[in-house]
Amino acid sequence: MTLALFWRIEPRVTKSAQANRYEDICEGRTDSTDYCIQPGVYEHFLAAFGDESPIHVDDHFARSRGFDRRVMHGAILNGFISHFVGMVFPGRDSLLLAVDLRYAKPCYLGDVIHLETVVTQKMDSRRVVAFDITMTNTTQNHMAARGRIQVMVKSQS
Amino acid sequence: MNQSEVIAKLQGIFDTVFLEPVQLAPTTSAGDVPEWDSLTHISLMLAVEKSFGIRFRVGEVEQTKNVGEFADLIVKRQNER
Repeated sequence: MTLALFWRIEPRVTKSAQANRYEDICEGRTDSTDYCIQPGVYEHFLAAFGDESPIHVDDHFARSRGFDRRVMHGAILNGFISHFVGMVFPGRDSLLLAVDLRYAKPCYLGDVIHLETVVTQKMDSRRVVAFDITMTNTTQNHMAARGRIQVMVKSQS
Repeated sequence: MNQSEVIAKLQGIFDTVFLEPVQLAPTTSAGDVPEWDSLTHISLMLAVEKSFGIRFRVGEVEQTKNVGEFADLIVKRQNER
């Protein structure tokens, strides 16, 4: 029982998350923001998940496989999506249900990613919003990833 | 559209949403399809609403017992447009 207390995670109160209501979201709406793959993001990802495959940590190895230098983990882009949904749009009442993301071209440390979403569909009976998502690498000037996500927007009852 | 035509169209949607093939019949229910969980259900409903151009009301899909009743509900919503 002591162990359970030891592992308890204290809730964090977030004051900066946006709060868009399901009723106020309309199909066709577009939103966007920019993210940078900063060293801290990369290093925390490595520390958290331990994927130290040489293609992600060794510039020489990555070059031998045809890349410019070490390739950033594709799942870092998923982290940006998580931030976007929870903090930007729709914001604090959102729960990410599904992500279908296709990685198009590699991203490197320091690249800036322009994330843009379009609301393609709403399902009122479940308060679910479907988005198309594009992630453009504005540093490399190419499409980094594109896909679709589903988000449930729950308001306080 | 009648029930048979709706089920034929649903077959194509199920083929896209589910990884494992599902052979639809009027008596098919969610319990017959292991992959048919709550999250897959949402993907399925999004695809159905988009494909048929309809919107379900809260709780009505959950009241249908099988694909036949679900198809009847789709016909009903289509006729209301």
